[in-house]
Amino acid sequence: MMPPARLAAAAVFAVSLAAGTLADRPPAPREIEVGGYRVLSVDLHTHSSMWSDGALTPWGLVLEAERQGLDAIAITGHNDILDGRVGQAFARAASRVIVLPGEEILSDPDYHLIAVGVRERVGFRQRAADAIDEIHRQGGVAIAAHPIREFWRAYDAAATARLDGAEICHPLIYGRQGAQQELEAFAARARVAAIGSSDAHGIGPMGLCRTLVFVREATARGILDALRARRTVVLGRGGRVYGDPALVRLAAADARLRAAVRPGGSADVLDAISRIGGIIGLAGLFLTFGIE
Amino acid sequence: MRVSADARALVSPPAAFRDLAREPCSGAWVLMRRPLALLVAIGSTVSILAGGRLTARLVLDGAISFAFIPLFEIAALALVVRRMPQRAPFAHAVDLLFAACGPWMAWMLAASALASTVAAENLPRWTSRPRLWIVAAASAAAIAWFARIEFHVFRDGLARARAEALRDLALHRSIAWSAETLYFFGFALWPMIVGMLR
Repeated sequence: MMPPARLAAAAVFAVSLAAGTLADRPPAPREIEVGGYRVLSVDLHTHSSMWSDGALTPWGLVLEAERQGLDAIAITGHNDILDGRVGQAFARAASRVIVLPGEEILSDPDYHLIAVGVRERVGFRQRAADAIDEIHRQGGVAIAAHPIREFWRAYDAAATARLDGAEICHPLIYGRQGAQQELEAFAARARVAAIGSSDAHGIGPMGLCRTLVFVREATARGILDALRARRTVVLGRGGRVYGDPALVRLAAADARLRAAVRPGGSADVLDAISRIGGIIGLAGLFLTFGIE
Repeated sequence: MRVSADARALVSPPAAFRDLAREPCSGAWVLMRRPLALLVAIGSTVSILAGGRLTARLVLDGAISFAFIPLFEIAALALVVRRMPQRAPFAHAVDLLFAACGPWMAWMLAASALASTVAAENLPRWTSRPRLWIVAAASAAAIAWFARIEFHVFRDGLARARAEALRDLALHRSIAWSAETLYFFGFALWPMIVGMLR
């Protein structure tokens, strides 16, 4: 017979899990058309737990993207694309989310570069300009990942001219003083697509920063074409809006797009019960583990 | 009120592991119960940090993602236990080892509580300086606390001499943490290593 304290802890944990699971429903899919384009809510920089120091599996990322109301994600393994392929295979079989295999090329201490839509691993032991050329040869697009000041040196004129996009909204802007200004200063150096990405590792919600991509067709190819054509808008911190000026005007006039960039959220009562009860239940189970 | 051996080990590890050693046990359930409990705790922490709620989907996914931790810990323990002349049942040794995870449990509960009270957009602040130093200090404290408790797993739980227990601890930690670091950071480590060698 389980002692009452342990029984109570198990019950609190079970109720919390049930409450959170009940609240865990993805928002209804939205089809937003603006100015003749379909607008997709996209996160182009996410990491899985397959050798990329994330906290969710590739398929877990796909399910979480659905939960956060994202239409597409790129799974960008550190110097690897295997987890992107796994996520893509899962999404094709079981999800409405479009998954683009990708890679975050880490050439520490020089640059971090996102390759989206590549077929093979891009080597990290090369100059940024050469890595971008290789990404383009594979049909992908190249995005400067969180280009704060310490990475600027690697992006010489040749690299900057070749870039397709640069992250201008990244969780760093919430955590590091001056990061927003540094990302803006980098984006001002070149004509690149404005990109918002969450760099999701499992701390904080996926899609905290995201990109609105104006596509002609809601497919992986359509997203890559739109990125090459710089048809993006990013709604950043404090109401700042970045991207193609004509699209920014369209976006500003459409309230639906504001809703499309909000993460799924975790503010309702069931969420609060699940979080607080979960912590209390876990602590109780730890304190009573194995007591007869 | 009675509390678990895991909780008592946080305060008085010698007594807690001497008590656990007096209850020799074996079998598949003994082998799995504490590693599974650790995975539930890790999965719950992942769920609260990544999704802002405790859901079956994220708890399971977090547990799968971090299943390598108990696997590497158990594999490393198997190598360490092989060197012991008098061996306790392996399931019992595993059970003792995972009863030492209290500091990590405290760390995860603290991280979950923090994530529950901080707005989602403010969570990244804890991955940048200066708050990152608080996380690093808490992690360092957990590592030191855990190492002290794990020493008593070998010393009092598995009845090793003091010097042997220290050697067991050093060997186990170096094998397990090296394997876990290599697995978790994977390909990202290569440019870091190359960068350090340049």
